[in-house]
Amino acid sequence: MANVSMRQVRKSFGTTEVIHGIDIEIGDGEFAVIVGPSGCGKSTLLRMIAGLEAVTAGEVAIGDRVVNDLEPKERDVAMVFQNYGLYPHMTAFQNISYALRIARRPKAEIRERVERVARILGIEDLLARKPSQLSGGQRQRVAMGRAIIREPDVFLFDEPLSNLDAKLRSQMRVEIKRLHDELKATSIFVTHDQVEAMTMADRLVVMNQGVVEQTGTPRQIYRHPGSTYVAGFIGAPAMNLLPATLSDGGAAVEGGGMGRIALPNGAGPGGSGRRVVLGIRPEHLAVVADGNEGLLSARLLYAEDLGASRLLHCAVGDDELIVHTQDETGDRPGDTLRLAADPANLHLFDAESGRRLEAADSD
Amino acid sequence: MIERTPILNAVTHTILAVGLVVMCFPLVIAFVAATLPYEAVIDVPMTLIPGGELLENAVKAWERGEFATQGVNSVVMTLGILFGKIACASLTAFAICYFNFRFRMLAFWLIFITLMLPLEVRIVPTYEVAGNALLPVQQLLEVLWLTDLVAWLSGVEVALEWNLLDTYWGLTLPLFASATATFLFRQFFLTIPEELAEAAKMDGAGPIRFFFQILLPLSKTNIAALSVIMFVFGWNQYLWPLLITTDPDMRTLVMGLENLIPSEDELPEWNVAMAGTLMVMLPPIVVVLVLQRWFVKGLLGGEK
Repeated sequence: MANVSMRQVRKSFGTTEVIHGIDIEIGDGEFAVIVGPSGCGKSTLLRMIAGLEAVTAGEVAIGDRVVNDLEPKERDVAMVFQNYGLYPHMTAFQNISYALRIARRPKAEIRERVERVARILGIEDLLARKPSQLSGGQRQRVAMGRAIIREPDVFLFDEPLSNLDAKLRSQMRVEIKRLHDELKATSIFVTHDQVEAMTMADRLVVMNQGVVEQTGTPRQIYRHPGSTYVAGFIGAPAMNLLPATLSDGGAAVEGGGMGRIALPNGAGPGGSGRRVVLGIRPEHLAVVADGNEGLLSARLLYAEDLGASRLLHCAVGDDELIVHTQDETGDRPGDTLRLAADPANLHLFDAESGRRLEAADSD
Repeated sequence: MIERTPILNAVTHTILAVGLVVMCFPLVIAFVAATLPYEAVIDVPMTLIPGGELLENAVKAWERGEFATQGVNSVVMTLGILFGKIACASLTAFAICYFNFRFRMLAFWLIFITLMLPLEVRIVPTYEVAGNALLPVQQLLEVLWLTDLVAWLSGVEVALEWNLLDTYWGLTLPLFASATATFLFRQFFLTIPEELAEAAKMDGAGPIRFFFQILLPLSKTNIAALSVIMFVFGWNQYLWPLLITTDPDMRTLVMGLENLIPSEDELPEWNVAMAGTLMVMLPPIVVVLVLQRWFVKGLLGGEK
């Protein structure tokens, strides 16, 4: 059991710096998810915690030990790899027990521990098989078994679900969470899938281009995205981001294709004329009857039917936005829709920096 | 690609058949000659119908060619070269693929370039070194003035010597290095996912353990394929053993065959010579036949 902290961690490959000073504190027993697009440095960060990649500058600590110069095996961490990294010539049993065999544990203990782990993962019947005789989901379990058996302080997951089909993925998601609740070990899970990030994380770390954009619980990040980047990345479909200008001394916003939208609490950050980005989540837009207050006039481009609800892709002036609705109106492309935004759920960002402007917070 | 072209098929098969006959005819002659009595083999033209004296000829060849001694020598030399090459090549490839050291690429290219230099090209310097395997060390010490230093300090003249002539080491050691095998191993190691090495690291396996418990078992087919090539290569060595051995007890089978070839003032007993040839040919053929399944698998990129 241990917490993991990174202090001003940097990483360069040659002269290119890919991680630009990262501070993260992950509490003991927490399930942290690092999410970001490919190439943002999230896997590199994980590999630095694992000890597979040297830290260029800064400090990585597990528990109260600084582990910068320790070998992977001395760090008491276990890792589940994206392509599982199973030894092809060994059976599942041998794969799972390899670390213990290296540590020269007694035979009886190894057998007993492998069997316990296999029971937890439901792979008792597969122990005699080689990886090539296992399905993707089963290999995934064996790979997890190999990590669990070492009873490490910290579990590291490097996009472990990305090779599974959609159904298996959501199943494994639940299973990994359940395992975490059972084992209570600190876990760090790297993914580019924001659904995985939202559903699994106790603490979410959003990364972009080698820096941490925002950390917090998934709920906090969803409700209060700290920048346009986070706003666009977390949530599916993505948040609508429209260029707009503050008016009425900051009490309202106006923009190209939309009318005047009053801000709650009667005051925005800064005075009239400040250029901002207005963020509205698709589910906070509603199709309304003509003549209401605070409206956007939008032309329907096309509608996606998801069964339970629909996604309306609309054009507002030169911008496009998506409405997530249960409404049945507006079936034909070209229809003009009147949209109302929920004023309690508006997000304002600075037009230049993309940072969140706090006065627009709803709560 | 599926094609239905009976004429093309016929043509290609004819070419194949002609090639086969050209390749096999000398072997047939050798086999037939080995089965004939002396009187039949000196007939011109020689009959192509096998006789019944194969065993007698073989026994004669065995005794005359001292095959018992030479067979042992051949087997020792071949297996020595085989294991030496595989050990050297796999370790070298391991170093080149998995360790990040300075001049790594230079080392690789130096090895790669020697692919183009067969033993025959470097045979004279190699012979000199074989005369005293420690000669390079000696020369290095001399260049560094270390021999003089030792002589000055202790009064002992440093003269390192390890003569390989007429030894099994001499027959095998100079042939250990193999660019082909190193290259094959390297190519194979490059196909092994990096995650495997990383997983082993996380499991606490050091480099040596990783090499023996993970890399080598995975290289099984590769090693089998190499063994076939190297066995035939080693068995057929002629020039080098001829040069390095003077003692008749150190000769190998391929060299021994020369004794069986009739010289001018002897009876031209080609039947005995051919029986000997057949026997010498046999081991590589057996190895190829037994291991060919692995051989093909190994060259095609391992088991899936």
